[in-house]
Amino acid sequence: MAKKQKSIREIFTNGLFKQNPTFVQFLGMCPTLAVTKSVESALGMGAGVIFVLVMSNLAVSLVRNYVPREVRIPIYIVIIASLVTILEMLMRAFAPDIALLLGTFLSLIAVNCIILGRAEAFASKNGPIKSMADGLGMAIGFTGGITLIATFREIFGAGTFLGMQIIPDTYQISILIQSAGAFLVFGILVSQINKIRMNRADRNEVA
Amino acid sequence: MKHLKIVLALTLVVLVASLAVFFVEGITTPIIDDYNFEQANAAKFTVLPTLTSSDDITPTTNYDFTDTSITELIIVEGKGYIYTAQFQGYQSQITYMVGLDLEGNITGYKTLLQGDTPGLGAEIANPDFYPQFVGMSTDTAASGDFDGLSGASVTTGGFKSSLAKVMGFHKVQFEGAVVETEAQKLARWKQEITVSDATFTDVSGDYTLPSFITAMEFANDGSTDVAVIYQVAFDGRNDLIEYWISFDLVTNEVLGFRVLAQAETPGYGAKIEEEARWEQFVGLGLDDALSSNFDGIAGATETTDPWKASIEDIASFHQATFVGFEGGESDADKTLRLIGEIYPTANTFTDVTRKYAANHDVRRVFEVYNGSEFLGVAYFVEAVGASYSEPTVNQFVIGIDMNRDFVGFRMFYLGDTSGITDAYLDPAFGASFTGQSIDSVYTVDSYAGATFTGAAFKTAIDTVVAFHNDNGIGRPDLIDTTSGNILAAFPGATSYRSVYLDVPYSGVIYNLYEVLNGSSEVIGYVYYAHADGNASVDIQFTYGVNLAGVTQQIVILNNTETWADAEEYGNYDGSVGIWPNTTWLNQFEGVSIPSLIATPVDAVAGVTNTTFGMLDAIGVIAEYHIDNSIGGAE
Repeated sequence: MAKKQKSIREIFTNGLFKQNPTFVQFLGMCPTLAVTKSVESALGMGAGVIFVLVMSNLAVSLVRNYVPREVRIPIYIVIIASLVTILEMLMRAFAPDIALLLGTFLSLIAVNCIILGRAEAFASKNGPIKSMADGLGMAIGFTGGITLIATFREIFGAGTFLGMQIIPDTYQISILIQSAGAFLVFGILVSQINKIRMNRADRNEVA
Repeated sequence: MKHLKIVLALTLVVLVASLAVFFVEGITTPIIDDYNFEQANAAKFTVLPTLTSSDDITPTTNYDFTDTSITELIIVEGKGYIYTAQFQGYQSQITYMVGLDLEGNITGYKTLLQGDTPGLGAEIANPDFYPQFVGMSTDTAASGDFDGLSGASVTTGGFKSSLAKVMGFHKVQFEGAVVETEAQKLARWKQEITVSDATFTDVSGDYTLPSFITAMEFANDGSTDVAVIYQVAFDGRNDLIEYWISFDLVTNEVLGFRVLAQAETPGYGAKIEEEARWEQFVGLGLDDALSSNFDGIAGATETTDPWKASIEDIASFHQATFVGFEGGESDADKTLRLIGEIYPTANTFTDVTRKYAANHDVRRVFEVYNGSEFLGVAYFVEAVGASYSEPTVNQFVIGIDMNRDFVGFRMFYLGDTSGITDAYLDPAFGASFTGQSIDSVYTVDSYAGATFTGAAFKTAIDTVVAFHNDNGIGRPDLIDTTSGNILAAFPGATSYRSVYLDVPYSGVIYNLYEVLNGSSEVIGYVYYAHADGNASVDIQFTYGVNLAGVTQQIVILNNTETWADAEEYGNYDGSVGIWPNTTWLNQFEGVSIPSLIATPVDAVAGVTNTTFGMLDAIGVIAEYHIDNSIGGAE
């Protein structure tokens, strides 16, 4: 039986939950751990990834039929790198505070596996609309993932949410705001998400 | 064809991508530049609120900022001044910016960069710290009359001093204030630490200056040189510290102290620059300076210690140069001085330490002479002392003369607990055994409360005596006479051997020989001795004594006495010949040693110098023969 064509909706939600890059695919770990100190930087990073991923998926999808197989990866890389450069310039011009906050991790979006991963795995095989839907879903899934981690870290580690004081200094778990805290929060979240996923898989089997 | 496609595709993609980037860059670059400019100059807008983006804010290059802590000055035409300055905080370089309006009032302050302790020095970057400066006059700012940072005295101190310099610069450059130049200040200081209206002469070249003195000047009041200024350098905690110190050339008191250069830690060693601290030197006595009896800097030991050492150095240089004292006396000189005290008539000291086997306690051995007369020996001793708190050594000089008596003791260095053992420094301690024979059961005083030290000295002195005896020290090298002279004194003897080294030294006796007959049996002894003749002429003679203690022949070995002159005198008839053939000498032959002592031979009137000299020498020999049981004599 021919594989069933996925709907735009399925493609979009695929990245949000089922194939969430942060918690399921474990892609793009570097920014996941590095920019999740505050929700603000997580959202900034997420926005950057959304822009680059959607645009790169679109571009790759558009050129997919004209690109010789042998040089497709270099071409994807040129596209992605150019997009990141553009993003960086735009952010520094129009959102300098967030650009400053993200620092070098902004440029490092270029090497985020999700981008090249989706270009190769999806955009090079699908049309522009579907590719953009995939990119958007994946990027939003990624943004959601890191924002979730950042929420825990910022609230419990720094006692703030988006800079607003919530928990007094005395009751903060300051290790969460340090590098090791990223691993802790990430590990705990993955374990909980896996638990939910496994349960659902079990139920599916029974049904 | 395939390759062409690849190249084409790559080229195309790169081209399109480049165009896109180029396009975006064209849009964003001016925006980014503006943003960066605003960021970079945000502080300037803060500290000089009247500043607008159209103002020229090019830093001026027309001024010398040396020693002002200023790193940049922007003169905003018609609006004011923006200073950027930097100083050393507690643990970081702190950069700040301060704006001044045209009237010289502060328009704003901002800390640009700091890395000091959070909660303490870092509070300098707390925006709450800034508002107090707004509207403040340069004078107030320079005086430091504003709130510092509690608990961060180092940072505050550095900041206040830096701000004072900036304000000082501003007042001089833009408010026409007249401040004295560095040279004027130094000239004023020189007067302050000597006398006013003094004239100064550099005399550095006239003295041999130790390396810590970099210059030396005399202050003349118009008629005489009244004071001397030393420029002294020493290593502080961070860097070289240089200062002036002046001494009164009459009273030798310190007149003043001024720090010329220092780079110590603000709040700690840098306090050496506080003028209040210099005041204590005015009138400081030379003795106090020598013992660095002045207040150091609390909490800055690493500055205080070398400072005090430096003051001691300069004080002892001054003392040695202008007061005159054996302050510069070396250990070797001191040793010789002490030996000279022990042997007041000595004029020659010969270090003979190397003639003897090394001894841990006896560090140096000196033979002491008055001209050619061997007076005795002196030892420099370093022995373990006694202290409850630490291992100590005591050093002293002790003399033993040719009579084997202690002739004197001088403490060189008493290392035992000061205050407790001071009694041993008293000359009475040395006097307690001086004069006693080393062969007797001599006593060495011990003082209550410090008996272990006394015992340690007794042990050390015992060691010296043992060394003295073991090495046969205190007698000159053996003096031999000819074989004929020896055998002539003991008829029947055919050979002899010297045994003098086995018995104690006597100043009268040059040598002592065992004489043997043809069967190699010891049959007696021959003394080779000397007596004081007339006009200090030495009469040398040999004198035999057999094993029974009966004297044999006396042979006079020189013939320079003017004995003939006696013929005309008194009861000497002169008929039996003149010296040394006189029958007077016969009286010493064939008699027992005890009888020589019990019933001495009479001297001869008219030749008393010769006869008494001989009688003295023979008396010494007789007693020596018995005292030392020569040949079993008793």
